[in-house]
Amino acid sequence: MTTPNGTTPLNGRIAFLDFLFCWPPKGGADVDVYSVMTGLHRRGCQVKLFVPAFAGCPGRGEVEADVLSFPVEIVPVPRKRQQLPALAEQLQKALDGWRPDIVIVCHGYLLKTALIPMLKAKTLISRIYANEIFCLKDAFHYKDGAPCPLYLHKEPELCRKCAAEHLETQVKKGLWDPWTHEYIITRGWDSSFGTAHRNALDRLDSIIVYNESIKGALSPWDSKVTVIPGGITAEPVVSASAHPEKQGQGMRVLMAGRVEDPLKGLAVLEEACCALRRKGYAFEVQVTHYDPFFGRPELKATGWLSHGETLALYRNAHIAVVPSLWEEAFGLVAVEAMAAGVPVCASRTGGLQEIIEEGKTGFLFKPGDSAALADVLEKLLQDPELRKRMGDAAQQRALEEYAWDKVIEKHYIPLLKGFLP
Amino acid sequence: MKKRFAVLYSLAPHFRRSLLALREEEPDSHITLLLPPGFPQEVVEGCCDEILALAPASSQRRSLKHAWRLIRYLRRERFDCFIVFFNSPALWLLTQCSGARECAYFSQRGARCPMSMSFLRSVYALVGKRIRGRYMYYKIKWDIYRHPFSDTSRAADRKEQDGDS
Repeated sequence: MTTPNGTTPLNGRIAFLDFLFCWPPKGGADVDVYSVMTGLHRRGCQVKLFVPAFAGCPGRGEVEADVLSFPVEIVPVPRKRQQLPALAEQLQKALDGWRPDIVIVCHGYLLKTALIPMLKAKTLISRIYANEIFCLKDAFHYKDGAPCPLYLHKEPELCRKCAAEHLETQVKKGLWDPWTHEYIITRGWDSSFGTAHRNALDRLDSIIVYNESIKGALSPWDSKVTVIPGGITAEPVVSASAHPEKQGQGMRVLMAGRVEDPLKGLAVLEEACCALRRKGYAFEVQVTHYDPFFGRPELKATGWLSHGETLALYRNAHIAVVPSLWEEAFGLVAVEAMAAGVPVCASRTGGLQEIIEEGKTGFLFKPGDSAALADVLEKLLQDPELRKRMGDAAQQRALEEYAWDKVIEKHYIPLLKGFLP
Repeated sequence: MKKRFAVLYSLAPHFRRSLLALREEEPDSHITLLLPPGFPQEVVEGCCDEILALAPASSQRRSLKHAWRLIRYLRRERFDCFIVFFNSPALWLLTQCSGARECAYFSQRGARCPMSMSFLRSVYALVGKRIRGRYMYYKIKWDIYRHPFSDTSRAADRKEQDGDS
């Protein structure tokens, strides 16, 4: 059975519990939560977002409910109740008042681990957005210039020690970012945290992850792990793909996203560009760095851009580069570039290696290897036919596999139907 | 008579968005943007009527000389409104010295809010945070001292692997 607009209807009450974001979403994992909720709501499912608002933590849990298409319940958490039992009690009370069939725990860091065993729900699902499930110190799971080989569920003691050392300065200064704040609320340094973490994973009915390598790392819970990729809202990206302006212009290479983060690998791109310029190639490199002064001879920074402005950048780009050093869980910028018909050169890591089909929709190279990046860039710079062929194939793949409607129909509906009465 | 605004640049994400909103809100007023020298002007195209290279660049160390130059200019021009992008103690002090009739800041959501700062409260908040941080740090140290790190998980894993092989 389908609805008039061709989507599968879904009946049930699904609560989304988000510990981290401000609403409406601004980009990244919060857009993921928003798109899934909107998609399910359109299919007749009753969805509600529960957001704890922590007193004294600006930039977290701020909600403009009137601009959202689904209902939101804000759970105020005053300073004196920012302890686990009190917080769990308050959230449980809010959830009991709505009686959902499924509770999906969305973005949060260590709070997810600590609260999941305390929540009573018919079905409890957790969505993992990065590597927050593997690490006690941050969501990147990256240490000493490489992805960290340790996993919190396997080596809780070593992770406990690493996090205590890593977060020491942050805690001491009293300037607590969301991760440190959650580390303190959940007592992440406690010797029992590793057991609590395993209990949380045991308690969950289903775990949704972005890629196969995260699934592989959660092998003890393999039967309940489902890989569901992120998605894109197809219409604005596709409209950005008509690129008449590209004709007759100089070549443009684009690196979009939070490029100021060293783990995104901007330095690798810079090195590769220097090598290509030495060989005599002329092209412009645009990076979405927030500081317009960042521009180096090789790079041109754009300053802060809205999502719409970034999509316009894809329109004028000939090649997109995603040289991430850490294991990107998904790689939204790669999919957005693909949807705009731009071939992508990306690191062979995390979710990126599942998004890019080597030699068909783009090229993959070893993370951090600027010579390998220069090689694949050279191939694309030299050959307009190859760029066109790869761009078309990339666009087709992005729209077929990663448009939100397709992701919800193909992955979320079958999974959730299995848990609904 | 045209209302005259002076806006001090920032690298905040809401800089351009708020500037465009101000232009829309006050289409007839005169907006002077205070930027560092060499700032790419295409970033602020259509947002202002005049650009002055008076602010220090993000890579430059802020000095009293920069502040003095800025204040001297602002006081000479006597703007109707001087706008910054954060409600911080340093910017509050700058706005108070600017001689403008109205001082405001853009909140992260892009709303124009009057500058409000209690010096004592900001000092208290800063000191309070430090004390709270130190207290928490020693509490964590004490807990770790009572339950020191062990290498048991790795040892257990190795045993398991040995058993398998």
